[in-house]
Amino acid sequence: MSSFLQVTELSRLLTELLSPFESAALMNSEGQLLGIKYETITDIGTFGTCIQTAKKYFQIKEGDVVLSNDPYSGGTILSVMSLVTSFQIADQTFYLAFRTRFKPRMANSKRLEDEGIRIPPTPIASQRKINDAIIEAISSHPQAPAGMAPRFAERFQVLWRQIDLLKSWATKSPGLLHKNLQKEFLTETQDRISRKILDMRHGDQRFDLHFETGEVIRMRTEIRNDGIHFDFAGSSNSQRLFLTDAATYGTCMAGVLAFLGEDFLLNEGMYSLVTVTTPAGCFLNARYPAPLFEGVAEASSVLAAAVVQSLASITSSRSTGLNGAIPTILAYEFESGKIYFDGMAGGAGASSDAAGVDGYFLWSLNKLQPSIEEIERLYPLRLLQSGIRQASGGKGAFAGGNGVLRETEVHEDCTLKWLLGHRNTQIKGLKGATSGMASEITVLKPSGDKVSLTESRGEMRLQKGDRVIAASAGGGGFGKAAE
Amino acid sequence: MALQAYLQVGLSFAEVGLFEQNKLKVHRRFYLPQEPLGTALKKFWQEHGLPQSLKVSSRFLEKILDAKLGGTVAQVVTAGFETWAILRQPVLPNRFDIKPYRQEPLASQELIFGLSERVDCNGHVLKSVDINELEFINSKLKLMGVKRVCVNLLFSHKNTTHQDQVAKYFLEQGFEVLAAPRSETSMDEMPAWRRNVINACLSGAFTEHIDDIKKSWGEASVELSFLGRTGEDVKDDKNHIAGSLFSWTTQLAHALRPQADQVLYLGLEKWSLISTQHYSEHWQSPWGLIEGRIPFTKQLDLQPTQEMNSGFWGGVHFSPNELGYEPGPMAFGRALKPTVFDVVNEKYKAPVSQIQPNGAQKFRDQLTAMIKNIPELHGQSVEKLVQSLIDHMVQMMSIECHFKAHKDSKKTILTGLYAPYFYELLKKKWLGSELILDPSSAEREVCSLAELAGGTL
Repeated sequence: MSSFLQVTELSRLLTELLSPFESAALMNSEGQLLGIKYETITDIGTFGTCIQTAKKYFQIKEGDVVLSNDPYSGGTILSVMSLVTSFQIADQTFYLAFRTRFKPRMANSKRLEDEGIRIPPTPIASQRKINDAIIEAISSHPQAPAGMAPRFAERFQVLWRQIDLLKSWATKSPGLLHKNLQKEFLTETQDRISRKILDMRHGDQRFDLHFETGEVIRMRTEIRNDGIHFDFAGSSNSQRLFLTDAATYGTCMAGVLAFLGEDFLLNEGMYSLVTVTTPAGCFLNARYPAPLFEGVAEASSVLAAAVVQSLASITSSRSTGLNGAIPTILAYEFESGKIYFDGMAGGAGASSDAAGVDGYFLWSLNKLQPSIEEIERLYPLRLLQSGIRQASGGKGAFAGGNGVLRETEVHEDCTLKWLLGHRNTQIKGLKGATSGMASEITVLKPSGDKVSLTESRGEMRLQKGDRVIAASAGGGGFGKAAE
Repeated sequence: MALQAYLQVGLSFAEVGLFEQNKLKVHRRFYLPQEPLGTALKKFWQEHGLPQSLKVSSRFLEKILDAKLGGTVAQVVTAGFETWAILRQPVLPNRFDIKPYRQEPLASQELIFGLSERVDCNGHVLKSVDINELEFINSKLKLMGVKRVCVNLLFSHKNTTHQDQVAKYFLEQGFEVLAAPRSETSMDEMPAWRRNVINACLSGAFTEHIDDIKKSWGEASVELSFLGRTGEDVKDDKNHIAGSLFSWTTQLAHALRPQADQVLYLGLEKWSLISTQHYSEHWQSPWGLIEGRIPFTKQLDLQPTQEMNSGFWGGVHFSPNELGYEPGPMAFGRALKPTVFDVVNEKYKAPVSQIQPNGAQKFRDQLTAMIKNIPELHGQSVEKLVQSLIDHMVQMMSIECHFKAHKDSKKTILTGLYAPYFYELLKKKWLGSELILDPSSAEREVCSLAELAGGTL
């Protein structure tokens, strides 16, 4: 059979294996990532480290599972749990890692631990049996996410089923997982993307990016025959935002993938074509115990958009506006312990030939929007309006996407925590287009008093009957509007 | 002797079966682009006699959805949520992309009106419907020439008072009103709202489709049933139009349940894996989930009219782009792009009367050109390439079915027009459950309808 058909079939097999997970990766016995299913940009750069770290500390036997959420051991943020297991097919050992997400804790934090419980790599299952005592111990921590035990139990059923399905397939058709085909699969990926890069206009560009919080990214992008390279020498240290170097790498890779626009299963073959240099001390190469939630929420989406911009600029093609994708995030923490976490996407920036999308997380593949009816059923609050923030996108030949507008009335006293992307700076329009509107939050008291929240992050007490009117930023337009 | 007829309508083909004493007397397949349904049926009745009754299962209206020919449909929604449905529309592609786009809504966004009413999650009325507001909306709708109104109110399944009141009002004003009852266990408003919109958009075409069928027997009397999602007659209730698009899955599941817990359906127009035991509460549409209980169905990634072109991994691949049967595969003589159908036809000579000898030759010429121009194909013969592609299809289907089969599945029945060609090949690759071949594969669609009605072949 022709090898391109076999490579397609291997890709299909791996895609099916990973499909039931929100994000997951498979590593082969050579330590190469054969396939990565990602949901967020930080997934892309972190799975390799996640598996290697688990392997380093534990001999993971078939049926064992190692749990970690430590961003400094290959995790992303503390609310995202990474789980690693291994299995044997003939003489090969494979490692399968997957992630499951819980509600993040918003904290105006100075240390990682303020954002939740930090779990270093910890064995939590052996011979496919969950160690209930360990899960119970972790769950009893006041900062542990709610509902870990049932979630793990449910996800493990899926995990064992997927592994069994792969093993039974490999028993009947061993050819697709033969080492030589794996090698060819990775080499083919590298060759095909390499050819794409060769076809691009080569060159380099410097790009400076200033954050409202004070950080500065100084990025040098270079497209060469051997790949695409990013150097962040000269970027500032942190004022408030932090990203790990693995998350920075994933962010740059996400920008490259978006720019290339190819639909394929991401794997190790692609990784050698994108290099990222982040100097020590810079906020894009954070060290423990720096907190990461805000950096991941804010800096990663801005950086990914900057990557796309720089590639478009070097190649003189596919220009896109800097998107308004820094979300506006609100958390309503009720005294009962319930937390309603409301992430409101901004409008996406317009591009050279298309308007931006309204209220859209450009850099997350989790497209689930909460149901109004489900929110009201679960939390003591009522939504009075939820929809598009009209005319908030920049005007131009192509309009920026509009932000989202939501009005929420709380029915119990609670603490509101917020993180406002683009509070004081608008998303700039490009090539003569206007900027999108900045984000804003107003609290309306039953007395009629209004409190405008001017800080880009903070918290305040809300009383029963208070209303919160939150609006996320609009994306920038592209091109001058016709007269 | 009284005749019963069963009609299955797809996007480009329709199949009719005429039964006498529950035995199949005659079976015919029509190619709708060449022979419109009404005309074809009329001719068929003239040749074989009028039936006493006709049961119809149709997904023909999917065409209308594909073309987004919704017409003038207004929506009355709880105030404050007029643009909520837009934000809940899927965004494509499902990967990082610098030019994502939101799926175009079916109905115009300019015709969404907010109504300041409110019911809470326990069904308590927080704000009653204001008749003045309804009158204002009514006057605007009449000015705009709107004919159909969807009533989409929050928590209408917890307390139907407002939905009923608004629906009654607009019905009395002469509008066609779509306000389907919601499941008591529904957790999300949007699949129910979308169902109303789809029903409204298809309403006009639904009436025309039924009229078209009725005209085929003129003034004669034939008892017509148009089957809905659960096999009930829905011709007089437009709240069930969307569900009727899935009556074919219900029939397959029902007819083949005694033989297997899963159906691998390789029909002329669609390839799917259908559970005969398990149901889902929603179906996935291009506009997001739609409320409606149907047999658990996975549409296979490989479909019969997918285009064959160069793929990411080199050589050729079957792209997700489905070309449909109009103008048809190359083998039909008019199309220029090769498809899965052409490959299968080259190997097995599909039993479809539309195949033209010059079309099949064009396909072979196209393969010869591909072999010459695509480096990965150099040196292959047309026959060898076709065999490789058939093996590849079998492998891809086997992998997908292996992973997507229900975990409790023990026995799968293979059916549909293509089933006999793929059975032996699939059997070699099949894992997990037993795979059997449906002896009535070629006439499965009509047989399912007949069996649903208690008939046999």
